[in-house]
Amino acid sequence: MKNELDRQLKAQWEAASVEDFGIDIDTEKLWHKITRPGKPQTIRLSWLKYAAALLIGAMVTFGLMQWKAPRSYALRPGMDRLEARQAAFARQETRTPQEEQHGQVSQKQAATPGYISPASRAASIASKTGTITKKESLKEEQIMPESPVPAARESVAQVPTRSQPARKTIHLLDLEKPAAAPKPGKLMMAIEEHLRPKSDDIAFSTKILTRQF
Amino acid sequence: MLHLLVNADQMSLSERDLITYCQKNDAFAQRLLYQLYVNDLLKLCFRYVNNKTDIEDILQHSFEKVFLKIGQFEYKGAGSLKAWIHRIAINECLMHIRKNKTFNISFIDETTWLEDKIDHSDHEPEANNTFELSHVQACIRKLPDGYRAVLNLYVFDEMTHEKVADTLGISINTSKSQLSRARKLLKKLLNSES
Repeated sequence: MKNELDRQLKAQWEAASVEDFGIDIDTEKLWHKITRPGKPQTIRLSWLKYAAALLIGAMVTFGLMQWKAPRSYALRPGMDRLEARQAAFARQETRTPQEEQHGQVSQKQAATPGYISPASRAASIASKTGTITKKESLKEEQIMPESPVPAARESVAQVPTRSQPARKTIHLLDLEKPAAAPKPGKLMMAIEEHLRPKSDDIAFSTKILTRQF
Repeated sequence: MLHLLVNADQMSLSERDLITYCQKNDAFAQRLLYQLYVNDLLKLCFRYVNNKTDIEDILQHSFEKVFLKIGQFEYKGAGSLKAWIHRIAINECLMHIRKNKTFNISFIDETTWLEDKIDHSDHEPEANNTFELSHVQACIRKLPDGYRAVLNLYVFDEMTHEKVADTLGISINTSKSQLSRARKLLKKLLNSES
C-alpha cells in the first residue's frame, strides 16, 4: 500500500525531465559507443576456468615427463657398457708400431739362454756380497734404466699376452636399423599379382595364378 | 523502407513493429528505440547511482543487452517493452552496486549512519509538505545504497515486497523494514533540510 509521500515522489519523478535533474550526459556519444564497430570484447574467465586450465597444463607436463623418462633411463646402462667396450677397443687399436716392436724385442731377449734380466742380476749381486741391504738393492734397481728396455716394459714382455681377436665395431646406428621386412609368401605374391597385374593382359596374370596352384 | 516510414510519420510505427525490426537487427529501428528510451533510463540510473561515469557505463551495458536479447523478447501488449527495458536497466544498476560492494556495507552500517544523519529534534515530519524535485533528489541520493535500492524498487519501480526481496536477495521482512526506515529517514532529511 503506497502512502502519500510515495505517490507524491513518484508523480514528481515521472513529470520531471532529464534537464531538471541536471544530468549532463552526451547521448549521441553514448550511441556511438554502443554501435562502435570492432569494439574489443572483454573475455571474462571465471576462477573455475583458470583452475581447469592449470590442471590441464599440469597433466600435460606430467604426461610429457612420463613419456620421456623411461626411454632415456632404459637405454643408459646398455649405452655405458657399449661405450666402455668401444673405448677399450680403440685403445688397443691405437698402439704404436714402436710399442709393438718393444714387445717383440723383450720377448726375444727372454728367449735367449745367456740373457739375465736386470732384476735377477741385482738379486745375484746381493747374494754374492751379502752386505748389500735391501735399501741398496732398491737403489740398484733405480740405476737399472741403463738397460735398453725399461723395467715396466720388461714385465710386460715376460708375460706373453694372448693376441685378442679383432673385435668388430658396433655402431649405435646399426643397432637402430629396423629389421628387414619379411618376404611375402607365394600365395600373397600371387594374389597381389592378380589384383595388380604387371601387364594389362588378364590371361598373363591368370596364367601365373594357375601356375602357382 | 523503414527509414521512409518513420520519417513520414514517426508515430505510425507501433511498438510491435519497432520490436520486429529490432529483432531483424535493423540499425534504424535500434536507433529509434534508443532515442525513445534513453532519457527514461537516464532518470532511472540516476536514482540508483550517483556517479556520472557509472551511469554512462550502465546505460551502455543496458542498451547492448537490449539489442542482444530482443530476439527472446515476447510482446505482451502496450507497455511491456518499456517494462522489459526498465527491468534490464534496474538489474544492471543493482549489479553495479553489488560489484562495488557498497550495497552490503550500507546495510551493516545503517544504524550508525542513521544516528549521524537524523535530526534529533522533537518535531514530527510533515507528510503533506510539497518539496522541490531537486531537494527530494538530493535527499534520496544521500540515502545509503541499501535504503535507496529498496525505496527505488518499491516506490518508483512499483515492485511488491516479494519482488523486491527476490531482486535484492533479502527476506520480505527485511525489505519491509528497510523501506520503513528509508521512508522515515527521507522524511527527516526533507524536513531538516527544508
